[in-house]
Amino acid sequence: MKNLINVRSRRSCPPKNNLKIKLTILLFYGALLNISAHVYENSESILFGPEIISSELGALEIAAQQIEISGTVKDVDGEVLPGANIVLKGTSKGVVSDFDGNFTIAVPNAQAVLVFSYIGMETKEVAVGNQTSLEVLLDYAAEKMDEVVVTALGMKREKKALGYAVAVVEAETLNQQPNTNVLSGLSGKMSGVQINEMGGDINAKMNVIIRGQTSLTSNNEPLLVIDGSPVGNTDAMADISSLDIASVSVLKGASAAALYGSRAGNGVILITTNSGEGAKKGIGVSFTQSTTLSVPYNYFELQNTFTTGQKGQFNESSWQYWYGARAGVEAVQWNTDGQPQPLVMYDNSLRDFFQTGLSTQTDASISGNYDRGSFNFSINHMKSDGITPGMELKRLGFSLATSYKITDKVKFTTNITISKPTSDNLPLTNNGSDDIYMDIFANAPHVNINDLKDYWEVEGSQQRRAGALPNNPWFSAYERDRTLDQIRGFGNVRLDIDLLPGLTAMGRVSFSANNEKIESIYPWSYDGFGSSAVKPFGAYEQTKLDERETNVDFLFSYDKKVGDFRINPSVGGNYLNSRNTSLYGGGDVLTLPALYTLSNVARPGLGYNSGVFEKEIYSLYGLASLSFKEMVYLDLTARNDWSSTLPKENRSYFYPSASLSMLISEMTQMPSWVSLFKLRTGWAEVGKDTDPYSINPILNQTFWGNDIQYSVPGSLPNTALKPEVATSYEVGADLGFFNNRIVFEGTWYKTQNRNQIIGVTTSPMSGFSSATINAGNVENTGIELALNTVPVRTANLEWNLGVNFTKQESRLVELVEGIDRIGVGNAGSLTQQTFVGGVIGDLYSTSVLRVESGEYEGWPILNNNGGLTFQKDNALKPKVGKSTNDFTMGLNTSVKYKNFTLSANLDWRQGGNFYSETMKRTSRSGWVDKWQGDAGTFSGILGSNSFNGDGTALANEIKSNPTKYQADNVWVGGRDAQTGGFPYNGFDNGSFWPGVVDNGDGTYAENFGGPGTVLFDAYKVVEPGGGLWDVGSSFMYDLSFVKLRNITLTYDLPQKFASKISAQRISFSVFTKNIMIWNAADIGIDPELAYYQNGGSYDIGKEKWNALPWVAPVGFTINLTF
Amino acid sequence: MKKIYKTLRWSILSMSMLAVCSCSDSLDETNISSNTLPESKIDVRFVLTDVLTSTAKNEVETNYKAREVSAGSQYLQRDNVDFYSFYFVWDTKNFNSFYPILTNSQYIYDRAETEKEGDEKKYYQAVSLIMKSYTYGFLTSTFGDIPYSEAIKGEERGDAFVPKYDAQEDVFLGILSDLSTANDMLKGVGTIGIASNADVVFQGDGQKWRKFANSLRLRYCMRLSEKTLTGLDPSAEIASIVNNPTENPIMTDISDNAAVKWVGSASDNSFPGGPLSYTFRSEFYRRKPSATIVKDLIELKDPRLTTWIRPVDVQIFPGATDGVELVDGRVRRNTTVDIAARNADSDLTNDVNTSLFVGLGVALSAPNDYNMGNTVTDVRSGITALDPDIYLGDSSNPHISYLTNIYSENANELSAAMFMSSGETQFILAEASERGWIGGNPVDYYLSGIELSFDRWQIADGASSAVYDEGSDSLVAFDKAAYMANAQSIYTNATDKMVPIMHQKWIAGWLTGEAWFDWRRTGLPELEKNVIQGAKGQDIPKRQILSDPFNEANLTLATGRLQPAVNDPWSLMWLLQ
Repeated sequence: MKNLINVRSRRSCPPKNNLKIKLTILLFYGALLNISAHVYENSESILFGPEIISSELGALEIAAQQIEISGTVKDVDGEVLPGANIVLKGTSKGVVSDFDGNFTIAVPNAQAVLVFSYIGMETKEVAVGNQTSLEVLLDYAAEKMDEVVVTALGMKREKKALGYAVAVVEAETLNQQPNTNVLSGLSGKMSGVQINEMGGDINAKMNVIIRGQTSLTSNNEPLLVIDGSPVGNTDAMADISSLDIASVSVLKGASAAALYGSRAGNGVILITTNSGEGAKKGIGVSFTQSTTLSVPYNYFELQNTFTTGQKGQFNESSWQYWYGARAGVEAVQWNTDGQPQPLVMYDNSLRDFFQTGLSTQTDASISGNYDRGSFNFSINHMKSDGITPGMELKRLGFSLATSYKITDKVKFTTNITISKPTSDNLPLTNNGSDDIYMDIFANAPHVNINDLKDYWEVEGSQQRRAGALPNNPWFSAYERDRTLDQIRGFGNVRLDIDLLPGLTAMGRVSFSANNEKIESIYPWSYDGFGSSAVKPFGAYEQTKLDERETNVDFLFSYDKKVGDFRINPSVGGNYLNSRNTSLYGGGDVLTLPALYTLSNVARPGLGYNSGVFEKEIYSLYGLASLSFKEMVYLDLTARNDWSSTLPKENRSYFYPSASLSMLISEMTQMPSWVSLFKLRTGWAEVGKDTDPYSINPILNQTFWGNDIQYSVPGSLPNTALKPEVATSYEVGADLGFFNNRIVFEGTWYKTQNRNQIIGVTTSPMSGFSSATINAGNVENTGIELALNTVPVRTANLEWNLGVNFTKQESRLVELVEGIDRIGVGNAGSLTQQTFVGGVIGDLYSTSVLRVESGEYEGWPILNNNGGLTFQKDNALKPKVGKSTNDFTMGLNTSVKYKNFTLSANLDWRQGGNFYSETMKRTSRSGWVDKWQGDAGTFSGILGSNSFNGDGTALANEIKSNPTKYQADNVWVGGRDAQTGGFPYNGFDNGSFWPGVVDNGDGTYAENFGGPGTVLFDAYKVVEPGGGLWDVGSSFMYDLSFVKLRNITLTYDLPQKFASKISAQRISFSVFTKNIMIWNAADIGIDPELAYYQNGGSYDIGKEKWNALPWVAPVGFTINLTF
Repeated sequence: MKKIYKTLRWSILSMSMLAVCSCSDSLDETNISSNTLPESKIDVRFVLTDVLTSTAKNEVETNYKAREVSAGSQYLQRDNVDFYSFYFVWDTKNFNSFYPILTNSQYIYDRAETEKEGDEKKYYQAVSLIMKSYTYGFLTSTFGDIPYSEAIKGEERGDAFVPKYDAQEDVFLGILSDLSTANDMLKGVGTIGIASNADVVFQGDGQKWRKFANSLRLRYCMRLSEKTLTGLDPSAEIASIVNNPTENPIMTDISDNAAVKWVGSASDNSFPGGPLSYTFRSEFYRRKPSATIVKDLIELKDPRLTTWIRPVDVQIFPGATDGVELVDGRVRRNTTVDIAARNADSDLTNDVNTSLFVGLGVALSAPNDYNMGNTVTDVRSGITALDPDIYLGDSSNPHISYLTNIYSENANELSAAMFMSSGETQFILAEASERGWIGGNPVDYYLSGIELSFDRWQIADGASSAVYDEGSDSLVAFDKAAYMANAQSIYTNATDKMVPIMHQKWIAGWLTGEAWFDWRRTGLPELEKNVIQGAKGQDIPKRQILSDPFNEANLTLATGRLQPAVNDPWSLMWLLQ
């Protein structure tokens, strides 16, 4: 959907074609300079003024000029329109109105017709006649009636003719603030499109899901198409400059995407980059620089009352702080030279470790447009320093788009984009393995993180640590590196030919390539968390990926008008070849310290492998658009694919689509306040293939010392795979009222994904732990609503308000015989699985065994040692939540009052749950005080101090209030006497679970705090085996949140100031983005980050070590337009 | 210009036609992976190596790494953190590490059927049956009913994804029948040269495999000896095997032992206690010998104590003051606590053990506190000052013994994964003879079992400092004759001869799973009396609990046949009913 802010507000964003020079100076804290300049030939150019080329081309016409016409362009309300285009019809000659709306143009004779156009206004033609002075009033265009959007195969279509929903975000909306990843500029701006960030620092992986999860086990990534070339998944969007983009179209449903075939099952994101085409004649130059500071403002709350140790004793070799020493205790510490000194607690570890991130982006472009052709060349540079010290990312990119008319009937076009991201140290996108974040959270409270900055004990080989675990965070930040050296390029060469009147042909070859090298560097003395992450002699790994894809396609289109009918059939074909190669080498144990080469990896541990994956698809397709009187539009498409990845007999698959658009408001007489009444519907079927080599059984190779060994893979291949089929229906309406000041769009859709090619988990005793099946049906339904309004519009005040709403659900309707569920992921005590009949995103958890009936009904059954007992029977594990939202809403608004414009974008996601592995782990270690509501690690709900230490009274209280004390997370006791611990094994850390001990003969012994109550060491409250570690529901939180995706305040300087330096416009903007307004969980962890990368797929609804500080990016902009 | 236009017009038309017509056949080739050979081009001997090494990995997973079986047999205990702490809170287990052995064994069998012939075919098929039976034998012994007749048929899809659980009796009958078939197949099969590298157990020696097969038959028959089966009398079967050694050769010498030695060059071919596998070194220190076996070996003056178990890093001595000191190059801790009083009270966690070898008490709810572990912090810096090499990191307790270097190295000849030993065979014969099923003198088999165990651990007569003398608190030389005489006298003096047999079998079975299975069957040795604070009092679990989430209906039917019908570690499977 085109954003109203930019269509309606005539001055907040100056019309693009009118830009002469635009200087953008973005100052932050007075230190930063940004300039953007556009120069066009037809302006009275001040700084650059190159009329050279256009003078040559226009020489003949200039000679023939005879009559001089002058005049003013205004809107129907009488406001002058600066920058309106005035073109002499039938020629390319034109001028632009000046800042007072005045223009002067020479015409050859009185028969000349002038065409007046202005963005958002109806175009008007005026015959010159005898006039030499004109006042032209332009009317507001009926909103979006003639909006042109880019659809499948790059075809530009009028939006009103479409029978399906397409979401469009224009450059102005996308680039309200600078974005290091294009996707972050799209968040919350479209219905039906959910964009999630999966990390808090730079290079955060963004996950895009269009119309919900349809595939069960793959990542549901949409296809990315840039200027007609398929580029693969959305990863590439992090590698292109947002400012190169002219518009983004999202084809949400199968009807829209059917022509892209197999790969479009999860939707398509179509990006159109800037080209010189459509610009005014001549040369244009633009230069933009922006700077954003990322200020951490909200830190995960770590406790600093108790430090490392147990039983009140100080022990630096422990990572447990449950009952470590308090401040003031005398102890020999890592930095006290063997002398005991009182413990001092610090509260600065996160604040002093994380820093303000800084990101600068510079874009420059030059474009030209002539009779014979056009070009746009841009160069961009981005540099980002993360909030984590040492983390950085640089990117240099080039982009060239040219078109040239070889003859009047043959046009040659090419687009080439090259992007080169590099980094000396890039954060891991999957938090939770051996990454730095564990090291930071594990810094003990008695250790001042600043004292660790000098992190080498022996330069290059031994880090300086405080205690046994884990790494010195600064060492981890600066020495344990992950480098990136990547080059991504894509482009195409295209010929358009007018073969016959009405018949055109297009041929295109596109190529995309991505080459990346990633090095993982672990210095000597590296000590990650977990058995395999301890690398006393470091490690070095190098991974190289080379991904290439070639597409060759052609399309013949015919356009014929017969009476009131118009028919527009096309046929085309595509050949796809993708070839990915990978190369890996590396291993633990470096012979010499600080030398990171493969040859320095000690022989026995050196691992290596390589692989090639190739795939081809041939496709033929046809489409026909039929229309009647611009009232009824019918689109029919058909496509057949031949994929190399499927068995010969199932290789060829055909799929059709149909969509219908009816403009009721054109067919019947509607009240005058109804400006648009359109009904649309679409039906489509899309086929989908699979990955290369999935159908042939192979043996896996491994080694036993120097001996090769082979084994049958645990995954059973399917030699008779059929293509997947997604059938979708959608019905929608587009309504416009009061001259389209109120515009409503609504879509209901349903998609049935059949024959899914899924790797399902099977009972291992079948001989395989998983099998590729080719069946099932996931039904995906949803509604998408959007309402855009202009509630107020006066000369001085204009208010735009847009709201979008999405509600969707994916239900597993059927699977194959023998298989009753799909396991999506497993977070220890939490299982992400969907049974037939269930909803994708269902979460199940182990539960505590409780007495089923009788006197002790509902109380946990404890074992002889007072530990909780658990439901081991998988079938009886309860469903505890779902990881998908109930609904999401986006709100876009802008208010313009005189020279001020305030625009904002809110994203509200309601409902659903997530599981926090961070909370579970930090609670287990006693690093946090509270993990949920009243549940905390310092004290149980009651303790030894309750009822003045009267155990019988305590037991009575508990026993007589089952509702309160049977709840999850309830324990009794404390870390020490002060916090309510009971005497236990000579210390005061005894605690217990309220419940009953199973006597083994059907009777139970009370464990409520009276005599005989079985105590345990308090630290075991979250331990596995008898504590809450095994109870997933104890660490489940509400996923709901509201985020302010962006807020920008712009102030336009009054014209009298601007004109003094010959500028058309001078404006100042301040902005910030992604600010959490509200979140239901309230544990300092961003629910949006509850995505966990697990191999190739994402565990949705789980979060692990995504507890980085929340960041407020702030920027300040000055725009100067000449 | 016109010419260019025309040329382009035709070339686009013709190219597009060409593209469409030439597609279909090349697509087949595109989808053939160049990353691997077709399976038919890979000899099955490479699959054999995988079966054998995977079995070895399972063996140490079960008996060293994991918490259950080695805790049940009281060889090891574990401290550090968490509620399990070896006090018999057992989590579910699954088939994940076992099914590949079964699948690959079946794969070898099937490929040998069509690709191999003669002795080679017999060898591959027999070895495949033996290894399959070995894994099924462990699975059914530990879980009870398991999928068997319908298992490993996933390629058939549909119901094959949810194989039914067969009755344990039928599983054992199938296993014994397969082992018998293997024995017959291997008759006259010599060494298969081409498999000598791939066969990391017997280097292609068909006759050694045959002995292994028959010894396994003895093992499983003995396991079944308390049960009555349809069509099989376990004791008669044992007799028929033993009485016809020509047709049924069994293991008699340590060279017959079925074991896989670790390579030690990478984590996946190393003993898990070594630094390549446990880079997180505290994992090694978490597993401590149990008090039961340490006490027992001290009492017997058994040299295997020092082979397997280290002296404590810091021995405790009663003293006039609290603190640490260096005496004869060793750090000792002096304590003023009233040791006698502590050891006399009912709280076993606070006991103080002043021996040079101390095991960790069995099933303690606070194992970290054992033997003054809760006060190590008081002397931590003192110990380091006197001997900086003493490990005081995570999971340390310098007053409790750790395992010896055999278990902390990546590969030690003695840490080989033992599938079955000739020693075990001798103890089975001792029992069979004692129960009157076979001839011979039970005491001879018993003594022979002990001697084979010394041989297996390379303990020679006269080995210096091999035996701990508790009285003098010193290490003395091994007097084998004295040991054997003592063992014989224990046997002679025993009222129930099964007690010494099962006792020595338990010691000889160190870090294998057999002792737990024997204890379930015979109640010997009396391990329950050592349990301090088990999750269910002194009850030691009798089965591992199974999770088979994708075959739940069948699992539920199977657990319904347990007594009581709950998927619980104490429920009795058919074998124990």
